[in-house]
Amino acid sequence: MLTDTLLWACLMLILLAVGGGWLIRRLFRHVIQSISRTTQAITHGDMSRRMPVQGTDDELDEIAITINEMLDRISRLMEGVRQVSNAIAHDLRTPIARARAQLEDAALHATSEAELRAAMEQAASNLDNVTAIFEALLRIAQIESGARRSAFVQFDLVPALQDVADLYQAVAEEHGLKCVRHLPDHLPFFGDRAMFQQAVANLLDNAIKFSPPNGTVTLSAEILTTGRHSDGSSDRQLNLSVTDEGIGMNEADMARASERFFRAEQARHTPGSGLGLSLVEAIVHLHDGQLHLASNTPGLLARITVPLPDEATTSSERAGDPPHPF
Amino acid sequence: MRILLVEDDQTVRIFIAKGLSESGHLVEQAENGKDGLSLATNENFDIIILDRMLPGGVDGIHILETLRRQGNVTPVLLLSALADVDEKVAGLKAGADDYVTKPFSFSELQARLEALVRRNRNEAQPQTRLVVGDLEIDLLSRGVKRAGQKIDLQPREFRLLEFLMRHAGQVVTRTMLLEGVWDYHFDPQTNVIDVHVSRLRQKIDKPFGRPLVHTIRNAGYMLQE
Ligand SMILES: Nc1ncnc2c1ncn2[C@@H]1O[C@H](COP(=O)(O)OP(=O)(O)O)[C@@H](O)[C@H]1O
Ligand SMILES: [Mg+2]
Repeated sequence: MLTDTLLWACLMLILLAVGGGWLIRRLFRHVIQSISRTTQAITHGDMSRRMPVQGTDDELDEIAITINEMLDRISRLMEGVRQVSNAIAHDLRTPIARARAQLEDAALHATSEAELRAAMEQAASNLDNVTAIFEALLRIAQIESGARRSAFVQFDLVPALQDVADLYQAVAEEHGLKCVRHLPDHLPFFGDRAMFQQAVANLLDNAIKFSPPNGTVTLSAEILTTGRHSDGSSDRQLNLSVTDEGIGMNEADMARASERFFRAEQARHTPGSGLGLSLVEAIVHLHDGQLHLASNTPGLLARITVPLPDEATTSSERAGDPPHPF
Repeated sequence: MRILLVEDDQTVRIFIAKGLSESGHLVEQAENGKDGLSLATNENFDIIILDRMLPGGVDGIHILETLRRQGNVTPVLLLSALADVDEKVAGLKAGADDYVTKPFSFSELQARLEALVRRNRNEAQPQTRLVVGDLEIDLLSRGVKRAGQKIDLQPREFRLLEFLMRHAGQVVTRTMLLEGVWDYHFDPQTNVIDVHVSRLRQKIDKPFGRPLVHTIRNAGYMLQE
């Protein structure tokens, strides 16, 4: 009797083990087949294919969800590459095509030496434009790779900002714009001076370019304390903004403004190639900061925020002094 | 001037050599680093134009470093297709006196060459007063006078005028002004320099009838009597 029961128990155990093993194997095979079907479809170019998710919340679903997230990210990256290469193709082709047409037209139709020379000079300036676009694209790529962080130094941001503001103030006034600076006496900062200057220069350039006469362009910078810790230390950030009273941007355009080559419809007739804000964003990200755009009704408010280390605290960093003209 | 030009790209080399010969210089050409280095070490030049990247193992930086190690102080202008700020810094560190990125216009190259040679000559005697025609500036008191009349300039306007006066009689390009007066090394996208020069003209030229600041088409500006 006892041996009988034991025998049965053994038999059940073996059956369960074999059956369980078989079941698990089947399950695994199912998952692997599903992964393999999805990856095959993707290899054949169907980037929209995803792993089926059963909604059972188990490990299998977890794998499916992880793989799907990875695929989503790859799709987004590929879309980005596609957009940039389309844009490069279009934005570089246009000035090259123009230069080519001018040269060919002059070769075929010019009747005087002066006409020929004029066409050639035009073509050369179109090619300079191509070079400028190339340079901006390369610089953005280089900044995004993070390689320039080795050039970071400790410096006072205020004179660096004054230099750029001095440079653009004359242009602003030429456009009939009033300029105001709200800057403290000193702003200790750690970063790439030349790069940061270029970011601010691009913002000022936009503010001037997209403003009708009689508006005001404001450059301000200050250090904000965003939170206090129990040990007495605090979170501090640099708050730098350029505001104008120009044509501004709608929400949808603001969301896309720092994409490479993006230009809003209203910007079609102003000079530029849509790389300015891409460069600003790359530079700001290099400094672990953020670029925000908001409406200034009327106009645009472009703000750069950069978190600061706690120890750089000095006493003279408040933007308390009254505004003085550029 | 006797100029050594080391550049492997034939089109660029002929373009530069032609332009420089036309303005009356004697140009010695080398199309690879080896020939360039032996010419540079064995003969005397007023200035050397070096392409940064050359085929055959001996590149521009190598030539430059070798020359400087030998105590040769001939002014060197580097040409490079690498527009990177870091590359520029590396070139200057290796002993170059200036750096021009390809593609460039001939007027930019020529203006920089002249500025280099001039700088080399002027370095001997430090000046405290600069005079061009009836315009004079005092570098110590920062005073400006034209035809005996005092002119008030903003600090940055003074630096712009000082730069133009130090290069009097020479073409000064917009890029040179951006770098020299504002220490700004990027493409400013707009005509910032033109605006500043036009403001300076309002103060130093307009009230006096006869202009001293001249626009040089397709090149830049020149301060001249
Ligand atoms: N201050 C501003 N006011 C209104 N629109 C702006 C402003 N700054 C940027 N934009 C919009 O964002 C676009 C992208 O800006 P940017 O990357 O600097 O390119 P670009 O200046 O070459 O047009 C501009 O074409 C314009 O449509
Ligand atoms: Mg812009």
